[in-house]
Amino acid sequence: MRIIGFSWEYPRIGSQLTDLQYLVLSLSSILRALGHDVTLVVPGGVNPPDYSGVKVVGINLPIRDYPNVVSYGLSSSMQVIANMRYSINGEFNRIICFEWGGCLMGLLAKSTQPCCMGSSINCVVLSTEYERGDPGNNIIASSIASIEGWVFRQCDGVYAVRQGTADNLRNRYNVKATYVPLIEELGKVIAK
Amino acid sequence: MRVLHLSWEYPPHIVGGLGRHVYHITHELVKLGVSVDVATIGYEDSHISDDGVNVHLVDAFKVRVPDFSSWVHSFNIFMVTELSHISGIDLVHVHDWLTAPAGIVLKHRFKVPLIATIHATEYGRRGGLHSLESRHIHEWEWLLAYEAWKIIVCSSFMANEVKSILGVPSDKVIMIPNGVDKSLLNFKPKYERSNYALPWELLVVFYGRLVYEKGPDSVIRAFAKLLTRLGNVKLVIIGDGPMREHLVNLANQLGLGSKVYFTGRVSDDELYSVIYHSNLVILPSRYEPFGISSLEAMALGKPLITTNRGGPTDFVRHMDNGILANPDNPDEIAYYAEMVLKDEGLAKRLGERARETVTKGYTWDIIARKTYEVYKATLEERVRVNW
Repeated sequence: MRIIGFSWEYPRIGSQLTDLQYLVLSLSSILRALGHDVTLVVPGGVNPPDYSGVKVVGINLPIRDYPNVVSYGLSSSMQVIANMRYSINGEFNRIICFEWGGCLMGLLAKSTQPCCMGSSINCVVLSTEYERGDPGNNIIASSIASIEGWVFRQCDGVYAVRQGTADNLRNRYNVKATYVPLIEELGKVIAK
Repeated sequence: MRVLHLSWEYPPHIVGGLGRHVYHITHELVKLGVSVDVATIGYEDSHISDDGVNVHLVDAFKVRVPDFSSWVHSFNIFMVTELSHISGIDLVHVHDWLTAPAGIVLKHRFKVPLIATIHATEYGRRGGLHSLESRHIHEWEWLLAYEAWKIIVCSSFMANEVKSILGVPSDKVIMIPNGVDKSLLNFKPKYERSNYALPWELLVVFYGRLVYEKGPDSVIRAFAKLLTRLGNVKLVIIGDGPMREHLVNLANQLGLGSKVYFTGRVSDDELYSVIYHSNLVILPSRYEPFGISSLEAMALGKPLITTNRGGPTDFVRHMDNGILANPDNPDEIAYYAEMVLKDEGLAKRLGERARETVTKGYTWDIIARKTYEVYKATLEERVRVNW
């Protein structure tokens, strides 16, 4: 199976590993180990080395200044999608997106990119804004929560790696998410 | 030829001149045989046909956003998801940075040329880039200019601005002015003159947003000087904006009292009626990419004192079809105002020449034909490009 992934982050040599980077790296490695052809699209002009047979394509972001994280998330997705066509070859069977930023890119790719139009779109959620921030009292968090709800509802499948996240997705966003605690199992479920 | 216009404004959703521009140009393009789609913001995803123009209304309020730039990016995403299934598009035409993200994505989606009309720049509007948001907008303007096949601007002033501020090469920029609705040339007033001035009073009019860049404060200061020389004058200020309270206070401080009438926002019919009845129009903008309001006064055959900066210098010839004055010099404005109001012959000649100027080159059918030529040339180039 040919799988394309979208994420804001991918591990960089010399910098501390974030939760999201760990998830992206390990899930893509597992999918590769299961025999799938995996390509990851991330913002940024640098293409990291091909660690484990996973092709990582960095798409340069011409815009440097952003007033806030919401503006960054929305705006960077459009920049990635505008130019990814010239860096990606072939067609993909499945789209895997990470968090709301990756999910926006995946959704836009499915709408506009010939390589992704026939793919099903699956989103892996590490946590919702209700776990990270305070959407009731903070305007940025409230906005992110609203975007999360909208974008996750567009996906064919949503997977949570924590039970609390799956509960929030259901209770706050009305999104039916599958709780899969083990990354190895997640790889198998997504590529089934 | 099928052209997709992307604009955040389209009637009835009008904020400034952009919406009117898109409305008129798309309707005239349809008359020239172009198949025109317009994507704009709405309150639900829907599709309507507006006199042959296919209008795609995209719900721009699906998510909560913290600020203006995030809102702009959110509705651009919704535009892309709604429009990417359309087929047979030959050109994408974007108006300002507000729809640039969607325009750039759709350009690459359809592999068709992108035409950008840059109505104004963030640098010009704000007099520099003083905030993170301004820098963000400026960068998107730069990206739009970079991605566009051709850039249309409305005046020589704007051509220089996009070349110097956005670093655009000269051969990419095409100057096509804005226009006015032809019906304005035969306008009949629907409101009485007596609503605004006494029969013996000479009526002076300013209209536009009450913001610093439009120079309404200069009009009031000039009017105060004029009033010391001519007693029988009345100033009507039409429009609203953040400067309104300041302007009312200024008029009171200068002792103008009942000689200045602030109408607030009025309908187009009332606005054109007041201009029609006026003896002089003063529009001393400090920043004016084009100056469509100056052109409207000219279409109605009125003597006009406008700014000697920006767009109006393209179509106003000093003391021939109007008067160009320094917007920051109320003495100069008052001097010319007195000259026009005292000399009926001069006022008549300025008005007639002004009307002639509009008729010959500034109606939407002429503007649309020029735009159509740009489309044709671009498509011919596209055919020769391996993309």
